[in-house]
Amino acid sequence: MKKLVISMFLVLQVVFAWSQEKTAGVTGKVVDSKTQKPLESVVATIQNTTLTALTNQDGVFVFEKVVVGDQLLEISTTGYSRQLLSISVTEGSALDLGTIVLEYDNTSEQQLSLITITENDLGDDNSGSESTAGLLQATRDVFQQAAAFNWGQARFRIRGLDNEYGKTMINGISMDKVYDGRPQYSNWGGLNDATRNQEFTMGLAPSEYTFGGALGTQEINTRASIYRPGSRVSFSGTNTNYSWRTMATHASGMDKNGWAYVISGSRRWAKEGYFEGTDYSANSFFASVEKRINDSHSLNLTAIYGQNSRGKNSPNSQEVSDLAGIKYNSYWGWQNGKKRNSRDKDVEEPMFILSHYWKISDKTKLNTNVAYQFGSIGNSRLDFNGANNPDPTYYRNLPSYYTTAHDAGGEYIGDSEQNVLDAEKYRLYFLENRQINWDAIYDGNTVAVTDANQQEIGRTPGESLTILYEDRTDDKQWTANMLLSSQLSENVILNAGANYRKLQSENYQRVLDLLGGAYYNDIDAFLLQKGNGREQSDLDNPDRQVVVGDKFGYRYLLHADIVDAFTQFKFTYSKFDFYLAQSFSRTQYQREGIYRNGNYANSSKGNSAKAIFENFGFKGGMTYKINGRNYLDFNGGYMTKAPTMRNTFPNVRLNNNIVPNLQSEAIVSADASYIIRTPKLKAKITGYYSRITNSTDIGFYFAEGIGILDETTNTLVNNNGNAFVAEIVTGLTKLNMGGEFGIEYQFTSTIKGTASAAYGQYTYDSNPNVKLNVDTNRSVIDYGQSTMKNYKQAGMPQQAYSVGLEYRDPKYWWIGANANYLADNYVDISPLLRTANFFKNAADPDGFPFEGATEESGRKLLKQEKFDPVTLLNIVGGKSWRTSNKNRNTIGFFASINNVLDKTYKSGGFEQARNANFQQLSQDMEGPARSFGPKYFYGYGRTFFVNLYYNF
Amino acid sequence: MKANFLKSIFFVALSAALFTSCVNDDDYSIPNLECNEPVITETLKTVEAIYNQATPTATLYSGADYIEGHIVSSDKGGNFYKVIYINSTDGEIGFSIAVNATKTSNKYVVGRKVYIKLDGLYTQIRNNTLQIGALYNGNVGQIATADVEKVLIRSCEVFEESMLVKEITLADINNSNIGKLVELQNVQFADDALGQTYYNATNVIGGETNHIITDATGATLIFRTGSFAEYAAKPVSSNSGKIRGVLTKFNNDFQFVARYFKDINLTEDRIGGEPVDPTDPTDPTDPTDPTDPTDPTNGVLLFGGGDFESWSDFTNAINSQFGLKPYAIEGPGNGIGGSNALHLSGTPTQNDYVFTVKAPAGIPANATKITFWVKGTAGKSLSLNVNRSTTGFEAFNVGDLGVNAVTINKNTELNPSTGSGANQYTGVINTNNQWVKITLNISDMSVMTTAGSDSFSLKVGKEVVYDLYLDNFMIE
Repeated sequence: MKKLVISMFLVLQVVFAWSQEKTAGVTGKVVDSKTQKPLESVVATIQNTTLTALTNQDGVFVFEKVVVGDQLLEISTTGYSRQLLSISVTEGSALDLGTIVLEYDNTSEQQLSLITITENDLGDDNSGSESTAGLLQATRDVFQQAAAFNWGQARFRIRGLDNEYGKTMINGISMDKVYDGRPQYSNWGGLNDATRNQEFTMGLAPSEYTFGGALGTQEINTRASIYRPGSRVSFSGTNTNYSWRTMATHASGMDKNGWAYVISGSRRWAKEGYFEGTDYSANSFFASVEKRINDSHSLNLTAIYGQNSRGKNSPNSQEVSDLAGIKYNSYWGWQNGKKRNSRDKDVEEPMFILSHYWKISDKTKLNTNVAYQFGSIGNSRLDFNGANNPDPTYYRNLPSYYTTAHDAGGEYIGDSEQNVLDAEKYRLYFLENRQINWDAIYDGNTVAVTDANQQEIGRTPGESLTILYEDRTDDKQWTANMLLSSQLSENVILNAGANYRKLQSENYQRVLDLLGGAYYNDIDAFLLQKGNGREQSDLDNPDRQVVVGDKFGYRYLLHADIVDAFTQFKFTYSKFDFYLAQSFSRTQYQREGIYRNGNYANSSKGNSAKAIFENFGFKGGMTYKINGRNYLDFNGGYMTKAPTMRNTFPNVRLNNNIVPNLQSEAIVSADASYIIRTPKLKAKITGYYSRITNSTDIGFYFAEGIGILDETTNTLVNNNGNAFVAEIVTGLTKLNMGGEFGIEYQFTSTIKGTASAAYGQYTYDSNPNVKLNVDTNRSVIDYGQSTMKNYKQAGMPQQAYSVGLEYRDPKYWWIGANANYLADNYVDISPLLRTANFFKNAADPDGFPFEGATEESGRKLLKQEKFDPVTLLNIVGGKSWRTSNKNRNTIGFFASINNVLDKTYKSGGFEQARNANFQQLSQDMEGPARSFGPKYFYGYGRTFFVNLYYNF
Repeated sequence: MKANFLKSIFFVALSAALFTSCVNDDDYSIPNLECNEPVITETLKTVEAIYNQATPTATLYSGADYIEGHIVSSDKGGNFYKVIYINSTDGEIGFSIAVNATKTSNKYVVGRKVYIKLDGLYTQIRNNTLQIGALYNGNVGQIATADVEKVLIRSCEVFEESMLVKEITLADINNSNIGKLVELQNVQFADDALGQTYYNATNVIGGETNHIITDATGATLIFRTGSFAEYAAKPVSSNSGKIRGVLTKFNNDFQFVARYFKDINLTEDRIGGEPVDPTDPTDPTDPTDPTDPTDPTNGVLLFGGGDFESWSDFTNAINSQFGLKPYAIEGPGNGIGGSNALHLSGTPTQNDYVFTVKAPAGIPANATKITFWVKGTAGKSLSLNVNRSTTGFEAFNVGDLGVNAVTINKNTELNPSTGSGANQYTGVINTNNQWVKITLNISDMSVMTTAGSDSFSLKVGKEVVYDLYLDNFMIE
């Protein structure tokens, strides 16, 4: 296979013929619609040709030779609406188009509100539901804009693919975490102005920077000289995950000494975001400096520093949201009059990118980048090895625990007089105690100080029974890459690149707050079988008492070394464009345990085996130009993909095990589109297919009420145990197919209509194997096959429709509205529940199923919940004013209202991973509310976003 | 250039930092934990008054009254669970409160005075102890989590433990000390306990291990340890000294319950010197150890295969005329200490005879008890027929069975047509996954001893699920 890859790299350099035709020159001058000032570096392209020109300082572009006849000319640049002009070229007479006016693009303003959606849930535990909106910020495609701006709030994902299948880069440096393959948007969140230069390529379409994945690639360019000179300040208010944002950016432009710089800073904050107790605080800084050494060499240094701290919100069961509302968040509690959230996420990972731009010749460019990123991500939570679970939604404290009660004989008694009374008692109890009781935690962590009369006069620190800690990840990552771009001939462009990434990631628990106490015992109190040091976190340092700042619990390093390379050939002709690309990569992971865990004394400390994966990919595609306005586009590819580090080590916190028979994923993907582009009408319809096989997925849960199995006999010994479990699912196949449609029509010069539709079918196409790792009794249990085939993939609506109208007044104000319908969003199913274990009656010695456990009744219980469809109405608008005739200073605002109708809807949810069997699940369903029902995330109700800005 | 650059840095920094306040800084001050003495406006009764008023029947207390006392027990060490012992402020009466709550010592620490709001609670004298709680199956049971804080109100008075503990010797073990925090002086563990761990999985009664404490006079007292005690896995000390804890009573047995490891303060040399040749420490976690949990006994198997180690011995002992019901099956490895057991798993359609066995040779004629062990759940109970040496049988109806060992007397009600005992299956069995010993008191009957004659039958009730393991049918 490898040989094949190499030969493909070499063979594709074929020279194609170039025919001579009759031509004439075309020129024009591009100015800003508002300031009437010339625009520099605007790209002018004659459609269906290889002809491209850039405007000079006076805004003028020149094409020397354009083939005679009717042509389409496209004028585009970042931050402005693209213009398509029909031109007629006559032989021998140069065509001067005069002044072409570009309007400031309100999409750029919409980007500013978009970020509030994308970063909200990324990387949350259990969310499993990530919108792809973040990828699409800079897109111009009408469908993709709907996907980002209209559907992103409902966690729509393009083609049903996770961000893991996309690539996000800054200057060609991958921003996808080695750990899970997903970008950490917080690293540059709030720097919208500074990260505005973006290119997005959808699906397999070729990118100059990488081979890419099945979803697409996003490249953010921070080279200082490409920023339009000027300054901008803005101030925003919203009621989403933050309340306020300030942002300021200044770009110098290239001076006569060859220096250019851009700096930007922003701050976002909220005392409480949309959901209860979700505080938010983020500061971001950006600087980029470029020095042009001479015509062929330029150096650029970019530094990005984003600090982000936010309180998370809990997913809630139906019972809890019915009792406490959809904005309810069980993670916070009052402390001294302030809402304190126990689950904060803190991200602080500065990065530096040094780039060298080398224009080897007019036709060949080489770009070299070296990046270093370091810092930490911390997710806080409470640990309670000496106290009761502080979670107010603990299942025994809710009415459903009583209304789903059954007697020892299995008879339903949830409606008995006693249980009805108890249910009411606990309903009131929950409403009275619906938040974390910090005072009680401090009380438990302190002991009374008494006076001579035995009267308590104060408290003094004692053993902390409950503490606040964080799960920390401290990454140090070096990345280096080289990207070559060369026009091999009139029609052939070569892109090639090589990347090297080296990551060291230290992971540990760290004490944040002893909550009034003096120390915390570093032992695992939840182990079922203690003794012989098994409860020790580190046998080499047993019985430690830890204090604030100490590492405890688990501690290990992850090492990753990744090399990859790609080549890509693009061929451009008048009727056809096509490309071929291939890639190769080698990935190596290793875990290095620092603690010798008492439960895994021989497999926790030191180096694990190396997990090595060699992967390759091929893709190709073509565009057939039926005529200047109608196109057909095809893409297809096959690639393998190393599992992420997250899915490599099943019990990464405690031992060096690697998932047995871990394999790379194989991805087959293809799409076909028909495209119409005329000055008034733009439309695209696409069909796509992707099949991902051999997927491995490890889910980590802190499960309550999970059935704990006896280590030796595999029989249930404890139905109520709280346990940290890892669910290892291997051999999963995902099948995604569907169609996309987008149309945009310019009714008049001021009114534009858009419509978009996505119809997808995203299912599982295999019955994977399920294993469960339970630390409390140190066992990995193989549950065999899970019958997941034909269940729906979760986390996004599989159908989405949008229609919109936009009015743009010549007096620089505009308003738009769109209505959206999103449907077919499903709950994330628990693989464990779909194993044979579900029907097996553990009490039956021959393993016969439960009485009444028929296929039909099983199907009913295991039916995947489909969320109700939702209709979302959004309104956007804005206005701007020139403040002076002498310069381009403008002041303006952008405002949007999302979900105007204030619809309540579930945007995602997951079944609780509980070792429930047929009997337990049937019993849980008896009664008015489920005790262990799925937990849900809700979309925002009516929200607004207002942004005021001043450009000068 | 330079000036411009500095100017723009200044401007960016200024705009970004404009509003750095008004946000949670994740820096929280310690909450005010000042203790406020609760104001009890209702009547404060004496514990004595409540004690005198309580009867062996659980009785609802009505009236807006309170009592007060100091907490003496703690679940911190894992040996007390869902029960709090409280001593009256005058130290005269110890009593218990049952709560459906764990980690109670975090809030209700030893020495803390509490007020107990009696209205709506039940009181009962059981095992000579005043018990207070909610009603459960006719007896005092646990107060719901949601109610605990409303019922048990903390005072600001916190006694040093030394002010509560009472030093006594084994000679002082009597009803007046029940429920009190006491410190036994000059005691040590009996020889039998040495070499074992405090909790020994192969030596459990009702789920916990009873060791014997003794002193120079030879007086004894049961020392009881559960598997969750912090010192459960530690070897029993051979020294002598003091042991602190709460004196409790179960049926007629006084049982002493220590709270933490530090309560066992045995620092002096053993009274009477070290015992000869102590046995090796038993590994409590070894599930293959086939030790019978019963104390060394003089009993013999009630019937062939009565320990189910040989299934064929058992089936040979059955009167084939009646056979064995199909839901009674072999439970290999599910017996006591990993041995084999008989497994009842199914739903009888009739009030079945599960089996009837014939007497083996060697049944003692003057036997006083039949014992066997049960683990599991059943919607109804068990009934056992013990054949008389003459004709007919006596019926022993087990009734409700929980985690505690029970002794059953014969049913004096007879079936008028046969003259044998009347079978009843009422009751529910749930041993909470523990082996529970059942003793049939046969001291007032003479059993069939003729080898080969029907001697014993096991009966079950109909139309409910049985999931029971039975093991070690003995007679002595």
